[in-house]
Amino acid sequence: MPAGRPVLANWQALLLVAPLVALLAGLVGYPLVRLAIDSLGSGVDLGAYATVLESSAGQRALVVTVLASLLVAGLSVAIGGLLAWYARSARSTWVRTALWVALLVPFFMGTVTKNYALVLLLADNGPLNSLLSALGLGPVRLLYSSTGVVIGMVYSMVPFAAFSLYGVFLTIDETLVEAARSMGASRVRAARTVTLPLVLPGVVASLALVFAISLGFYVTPVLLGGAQVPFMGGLIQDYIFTSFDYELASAASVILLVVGFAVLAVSLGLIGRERLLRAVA
Amino acid sequence: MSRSSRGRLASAFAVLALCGGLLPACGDDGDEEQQSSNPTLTVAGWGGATGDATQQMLLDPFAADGGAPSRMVDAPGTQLARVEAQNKAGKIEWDAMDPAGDAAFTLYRRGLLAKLPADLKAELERELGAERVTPFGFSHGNAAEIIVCNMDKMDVCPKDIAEFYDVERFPQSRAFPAIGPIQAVTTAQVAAGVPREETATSDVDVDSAFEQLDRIKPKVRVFWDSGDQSEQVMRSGAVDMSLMWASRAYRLQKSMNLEVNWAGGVYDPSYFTVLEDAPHKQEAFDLLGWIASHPAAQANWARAAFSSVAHPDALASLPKSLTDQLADTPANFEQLAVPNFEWYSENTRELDARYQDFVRGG
Amino acid sequence: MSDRLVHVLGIVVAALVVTILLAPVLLTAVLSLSSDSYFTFPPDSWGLRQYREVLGDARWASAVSYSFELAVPVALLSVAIAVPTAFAIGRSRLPGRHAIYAGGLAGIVVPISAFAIALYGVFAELGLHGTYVGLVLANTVLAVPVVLIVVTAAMARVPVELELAAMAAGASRRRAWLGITTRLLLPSIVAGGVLAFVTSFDEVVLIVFLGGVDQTTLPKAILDSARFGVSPVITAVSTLLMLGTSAVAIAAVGLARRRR
Repeated sequence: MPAGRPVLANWQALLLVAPLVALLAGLVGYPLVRLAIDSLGSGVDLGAYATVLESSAGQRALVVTVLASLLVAGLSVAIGGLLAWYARSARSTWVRTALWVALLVPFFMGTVTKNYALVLLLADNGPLNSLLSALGLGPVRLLYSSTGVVIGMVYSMVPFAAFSLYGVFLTIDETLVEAARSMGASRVRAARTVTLPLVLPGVVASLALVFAISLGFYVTPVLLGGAQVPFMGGLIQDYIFTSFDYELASAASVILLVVGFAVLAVSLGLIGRERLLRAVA
Repeated sequence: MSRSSRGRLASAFAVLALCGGLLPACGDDGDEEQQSSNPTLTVAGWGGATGDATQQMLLDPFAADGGAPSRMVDAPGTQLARVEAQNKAGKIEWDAMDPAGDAAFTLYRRGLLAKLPADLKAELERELGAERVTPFGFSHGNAAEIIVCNMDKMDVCPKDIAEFYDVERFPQSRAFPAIGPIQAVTTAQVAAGVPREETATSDVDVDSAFEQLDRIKPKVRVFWDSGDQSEQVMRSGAVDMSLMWASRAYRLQKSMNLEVNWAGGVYDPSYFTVLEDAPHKQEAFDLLGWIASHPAAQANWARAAFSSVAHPDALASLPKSLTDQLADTPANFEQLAVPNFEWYSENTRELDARYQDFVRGG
Repeated sequence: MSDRLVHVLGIVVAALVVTILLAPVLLTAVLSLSSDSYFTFPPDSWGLRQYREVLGDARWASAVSYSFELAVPVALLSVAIAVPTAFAIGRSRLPGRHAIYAGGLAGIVVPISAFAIALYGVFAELGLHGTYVGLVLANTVLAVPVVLIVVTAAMARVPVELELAAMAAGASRRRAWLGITTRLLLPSIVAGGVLAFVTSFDEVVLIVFLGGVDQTTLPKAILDSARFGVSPVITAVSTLLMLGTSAVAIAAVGLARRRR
């Protein structure tokens, strides 16, 4: 907080944060702890974990979820970063508005409508495949495959990554770049040597966040991947609604949470808390 | 925006919020629905057109005939889990429901479905025939999973299950159910050599059944987990043939060149049941008795829901164009294999896990 | 020369990406004008049949109404929780306030299907499963981060001079300052509330796992229809939903980013 701002007394601040702390304790902290305890079953053993991790469905779900989330994080940050960069440096308001609209509409479209629209778009007899066939690239099987799910997830996460990186780019001092260019560096060179090191922590933060969020995806794998693209979200759904085995569901959930938190913790260590928080906004 | 108009905006928003949000919050519980007549019985069903049909063709006539007023709630696909959740919370909210066979037998084994009183069971058997009645209910809304081929993409369609499982002669891509393990495994039993008439009473040889399933797995391009999806993948050309519900196949046939084979299909019944610890158990039993003994109502329901019913008189009164599509029509039923639900209810966990690995595993 | 190449290439790629981002939206809108009773592209017949069916079906109306019943209290509650927190974080030296801010963002960061299961267990035990209160609370956890981010950012941008002037001039210094700052923040607070509303309105995963049978919001109805239903009117429903929430959200973001 910059010097000179009026300041609330600590006891007043404490009162102000009390509602949030109560909400977090009761609806996030306690349930997560409960989840971990429940997953250990009545005898405090790792039986549920063994069942999940030893089944070929569970193994494949974990591998597919983690790998897909990594891929999604990389692609979303790359594409989102490109768009954010353009939004930041575009001179014409027309271009900027177009970019903002293109990012905001999918962001607020709502998960179900978004994924349903992608089901229509990626269908074997849908418009994308019609276009590809016309170009001679043949119909490509996208739905009910991991590819389709990754496409769907990237679609959802690009706006998030773009907003996150936009905030990071705002903090870059343009004068540094101009200084480099006035000394003869090309745009590309200036970007590489000046901008890149400055944005790298923000990029790492965005990667970590998109990865963590991607792990938990449910609607996209279910609608675009179907039963045979195993995602942890779908597996958890099976455990609850088909087998009614809450213990297995909680074990699978804990595994997801551990992986997500581990990645976030690592990135926290790499780049520090402030930059991580800035990347969320 | 000037300060005063901003203030007005804020207060308008607050008023809107109060009208829209807080008033319902005061008394609403989310689970209650205002009906003009106060319903006694709660029947859980599949929602959509089927649910409407049940309300209009069965529940309302039952009430008009002196029975308890009832209402439907929609719980598509989640009945087993919800009943278990209600049981865990110690408060059963539903009186009756029509779950699929595998869920029904499992729920009964876990003590969550009420056993029929002896006199009601006798009445049901009188009306519908003993093979349509179980200790906990009668079959209603029965489906069948049958072989369907897109004849624009193939010349010859598999005539029976053995041919469906023959990937050398029929290498086309297939759609196969991801849901209903015991029904799917029953087809594998037949493929493994168990005679069709005996599947209902023989124990499942799990290893030999999965040996058959593994044979077709490379050719299963899509495992469908909803009726809509099973239709979509045929229509979009993602698969050339499918084991899918008959009702969906006949819908598709209106706009696609399909061949539909009942031979080698599997019977997929649902059962009208009463919950153990139901709030209004006796009224619910009365409802079951009424439905079973009113073939005209069943026929109306079958017409509205495009689904099969058990009463022979009901089937006899329906036009052939409809009964050709129904699972209980004798000409169709005698070609179907019936799953061994008893065995399934004793081996649910193992079969579910094994099938899940089959569908989702590598 | 390579500079220009990169520049041009960048524009092409950006244009491509924008088209791709908007394609599903356009496709849904186009398909909503088809009169077919199944999905094909391009549609075999055109017309407003779907819209007529949707607007005449009470089930969709009640789904929309229930979505409102949930989203409005969630928005209000989120604002009531997040705005005081933003003040504590932005205008105090409370130790641990950054950790609290990070915690407030938990709703965005925790994998949602795992979070749904965590709540599932607690709700079943406390009898909150399938209740209105339970859903409101769960959705609030998701909506609070949105408000928190918007208001905290806005608070950082409030000019120092205005606050100091208020404090110097007012009879009761602290209260004058609070009044001024709150009034300056009002657009962002409203925007945050609206965004929280949209977040809750669009939410579906929690409803699937925690909702009772009578608790059908619009997204849940669409999802159920896509998986178990038969009629393709959901393209019309989706189009209406998209138009509604996009318009509201864009207006809110515009409000939040207004410069004086």
